[in-house]
Amino acid sequence: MQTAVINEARVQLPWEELADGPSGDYVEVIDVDPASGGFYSAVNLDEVALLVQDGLAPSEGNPKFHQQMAYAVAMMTIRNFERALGRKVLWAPRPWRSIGKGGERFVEKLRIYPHALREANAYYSPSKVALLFGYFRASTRDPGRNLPGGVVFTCLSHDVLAHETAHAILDGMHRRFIEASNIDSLAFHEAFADIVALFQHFTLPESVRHQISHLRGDLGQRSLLSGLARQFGEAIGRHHALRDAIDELDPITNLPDPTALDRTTEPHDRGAILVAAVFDAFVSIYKSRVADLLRLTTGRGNQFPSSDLHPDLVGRLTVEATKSAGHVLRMCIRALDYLPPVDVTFGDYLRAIITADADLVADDVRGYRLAFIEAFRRRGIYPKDIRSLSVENLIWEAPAQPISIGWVTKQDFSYRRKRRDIFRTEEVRKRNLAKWLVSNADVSHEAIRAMGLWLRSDAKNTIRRSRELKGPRFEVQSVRVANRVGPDGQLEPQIIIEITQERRGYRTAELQQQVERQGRISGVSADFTFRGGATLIVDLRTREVRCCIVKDINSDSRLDAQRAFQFGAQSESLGATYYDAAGRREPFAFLHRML
Amino acid sequence: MYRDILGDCFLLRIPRAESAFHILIDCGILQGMPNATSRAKRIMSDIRKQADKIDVLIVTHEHWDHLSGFEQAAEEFASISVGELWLAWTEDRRDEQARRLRQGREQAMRVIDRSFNALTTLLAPEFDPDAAEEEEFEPSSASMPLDGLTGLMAFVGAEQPGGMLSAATRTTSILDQLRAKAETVKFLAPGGAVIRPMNSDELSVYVLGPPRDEKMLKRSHPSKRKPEVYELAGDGPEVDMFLVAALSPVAGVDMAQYKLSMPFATRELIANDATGVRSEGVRRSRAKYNDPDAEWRRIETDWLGAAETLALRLDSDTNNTSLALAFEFRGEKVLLFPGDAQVGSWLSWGDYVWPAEAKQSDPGSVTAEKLLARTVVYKVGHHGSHNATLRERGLELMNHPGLVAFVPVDERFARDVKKWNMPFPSLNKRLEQKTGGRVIRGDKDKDFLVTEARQRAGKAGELSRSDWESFLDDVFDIEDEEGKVAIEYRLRI
Repeated sequence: MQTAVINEARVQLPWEELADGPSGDYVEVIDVDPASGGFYSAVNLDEVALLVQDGLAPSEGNPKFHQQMAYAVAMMTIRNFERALGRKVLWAPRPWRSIGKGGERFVEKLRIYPHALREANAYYSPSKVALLFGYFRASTRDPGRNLPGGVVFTCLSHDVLAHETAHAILDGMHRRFIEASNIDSLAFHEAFADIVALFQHFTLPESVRHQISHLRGDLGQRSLLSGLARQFGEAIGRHHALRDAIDELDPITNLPDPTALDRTTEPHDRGAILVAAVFDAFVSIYKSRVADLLRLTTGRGNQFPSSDLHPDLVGRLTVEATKSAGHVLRMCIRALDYLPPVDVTFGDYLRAIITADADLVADDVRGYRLAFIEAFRRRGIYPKDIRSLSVENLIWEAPAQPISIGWVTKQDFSYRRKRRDIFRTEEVRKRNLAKWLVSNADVSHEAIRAMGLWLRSDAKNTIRRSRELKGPRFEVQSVRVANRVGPDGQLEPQIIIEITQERRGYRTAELQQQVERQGRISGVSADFTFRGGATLIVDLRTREVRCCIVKDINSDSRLDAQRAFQFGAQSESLGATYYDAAGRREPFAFLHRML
Repeated sequence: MYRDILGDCFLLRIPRAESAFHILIDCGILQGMPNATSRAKRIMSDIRKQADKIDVLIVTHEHWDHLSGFEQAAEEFASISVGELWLAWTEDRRDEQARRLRQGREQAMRVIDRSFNALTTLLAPEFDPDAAEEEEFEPSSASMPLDGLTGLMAFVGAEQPGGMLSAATRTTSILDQLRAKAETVKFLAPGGAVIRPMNSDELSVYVLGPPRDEKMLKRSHPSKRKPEVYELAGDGPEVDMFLVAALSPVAGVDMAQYKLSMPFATRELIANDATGVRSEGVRRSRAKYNDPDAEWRRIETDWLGAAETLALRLDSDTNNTSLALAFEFRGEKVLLFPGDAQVGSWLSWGDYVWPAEAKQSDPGSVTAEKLLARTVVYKVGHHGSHNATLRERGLELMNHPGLVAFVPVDERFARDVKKWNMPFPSLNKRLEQKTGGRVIRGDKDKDFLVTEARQRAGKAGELSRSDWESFLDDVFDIEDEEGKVAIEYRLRI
């Protein structure tokens, strides 16, 4: 009853022509239900009758509403990414194995299957570039607020929809992040998707308003806003939201447990710590922004009123909350461009957030960066390779000696409007840059090493070779142009380049050394792939490499760490004992099933 | 311990005045191991050589890798007589709880079989040029979606995939034959009275598991926050129907139930081959979905993946029904045989105390903790997988200086053929630390231990030379005409 007023939310999206499905520029909803053996009629949102009434009214029993909802939330998520990144969202390319001769790798539309599975699961499928949603029966014993044994649709949950869409977008940007090369990598994928879902709660002013009035302004308490996938959580018998962004605090010190990170290995649990840190940063930003309003009301800037709020105050607080959430979400998304191309850790993410923000917003008047550093530090999340946790130290360093990539300075990076053209141009640029690197590999070995790569033929034996090049193989993963707009309206055009290499990894250190010495041993194949490389942030105006984020391919300690993680860690679940988790075709299906 | 198998087979020989007392714990080889039958025959012949009567036969749980040998070597086994047969209470058909568990299990198997059969018809191996591009081709690195399922089915004994239920009937029938053969059958429940099979204080047996508490019985994974794997399909047959109904036609589902198993009213669903006015609304999406160029994006089989979860749970549930026993000799040394018991079972052991009316704190009482502290032989559960040996309340409590561990595993087969992480590396390491390297493996012989001894003996933190020598004096390779068939350890009481 209490929340009856916020049962509905309206989402506004930019106009686009829609075909049945709905099917637009970015996504196409195809409502097939193979388990039931049929299709559901597709909604046509351009129908006049629907246009005049804000689309279909919410209804669980009408599959057309499910389609509309899936479309709307996916588009909302995409829009948030585009605003933060300053460029259009591209999906992961079509996998090679599905392409016939002359086929195209570009995937224009993400597919959304709202009723694909009959289980309590939903996932992003990298091999199909599709989102699959399931439906299931609520628990008969502990259904929470659901009908016992009633049908629960995951595609009717904003959080699940946003979470999966975020997975898809992130995979489109960083293809290697779905590889579990360290304890943080899968957790990061999960956490990031949760962060997006969480902060999108705050883009719906109706529900923020309601919750702020309910919480009397204090967003630091658990509420509908901080919980994720509540219906889902209750339907599987958990009594509460699937995950909550607010973690437990020590009753005496009032601080979170900084050792929890060391003890937690399961990707979702670990990711929850990162989500809690970001939410904590958000709450402190929000509190500092509303301090003046509180002083006017209670006389103390850090004290929330103990009685119900005046509607105008609720309105003002809502504005501040939505604004702070928008900033935090954009900071989190923007940081994606500042991550290393492979083997990401939580510490890297903190550095990425700080650097991305410092690049765009010169002076941190509101203390956003400090709020992030503080919240992360309290949970024991910090990079292991820096001297102190100050903003200056966290910003990715500029390369020690300038890396000059001749190709970049000559290239014309003109604007492309269509996503297909953007994709094709990038493919061409990637090839050209690779060619340039091959012909200059010997000349600028120092610079290549500064990028964590090794292209000379004296590279370690385990670094994968290419027959064509007669030397170490490498891959230019992306050459992207981003046009970001800062809060003061200034433009920050950048080119983001990712280059990676592969190295064969073996189960034991002894075997590794043996292969390093002898080259190849017959009958022994590599047990895992170790990757290294760099992300280069290039200023589009000066064509200078602003910073270079490196994961060295030559690093034996990182290789050892990956081996220890993959072959000795306690992190493995029973499923991983049986199923070769790394070689799985649907990594998220499995991860999400383990919940 | 009989060797070179991924499966359990242990023969205990306890000397007595007249003739030795024989206890046989399990005899099985994982489905899919090459030459399983001839290996089983060799093992059984060797058992026959040792004893013409098994005084106590113990089958820990109904998994192929624990009882296949009785069928594969039926001829050899026929000439051995069996005194008592010990089974877990979960095998007792008179027991209401056990019956319910069994029904749930059969239901789950039906679902899995069905999904597997549906899957195999739809899937053909895919080719990945990404992988072919590499200068070294690694065919095994990309796993098929069905590999996991097939692997799990091997535990039940399914010869060909998709025959899980029929395989289960087979393991059940093996059990039935054993029941018929034995003079007496005992169903053991944890915490019951101490058993003295030799009618003397020489040997007392404590039953630790399987637990009666279903929460514990279903708990397989060591996690605090998530006590159970979430309930995908519930336990009762009626909840399972949601998934099962989709795999229609299922016998015994009436129309009303079938309708309820659909997510929407039936008029919303438009069949794949529908034509006419009704199909107008799905025309475009159907065309897009069926576009041959977009075939890679179809989702025909993805929903069947749920069966994998179910199979996984089923496997660990059955493992948890393992009869877990502690054999105590002359009130001193303990041999621990937990079967394949997983976390839930291990955790429940602490609840029991012997004699039943005593308290945990009584100095004269026996508790699991005390039994673990006196354990000198530990049969590592589930071939050394990570979740069948509990840490804090398990291995870490085994502090006897003479501890020896037995790992019934064939690592090469487990890793290379099955792609399973067995024995689990960090567990193996800890076992080596706890035993000082006295880990007897099913795929290694005495020579291996001799080299271990040479490398370790006398070094700091390792066992002394004399400890190793006396240990090696007690280890024997047992050979038959074809070669090594078992490895024996003599325990001095």
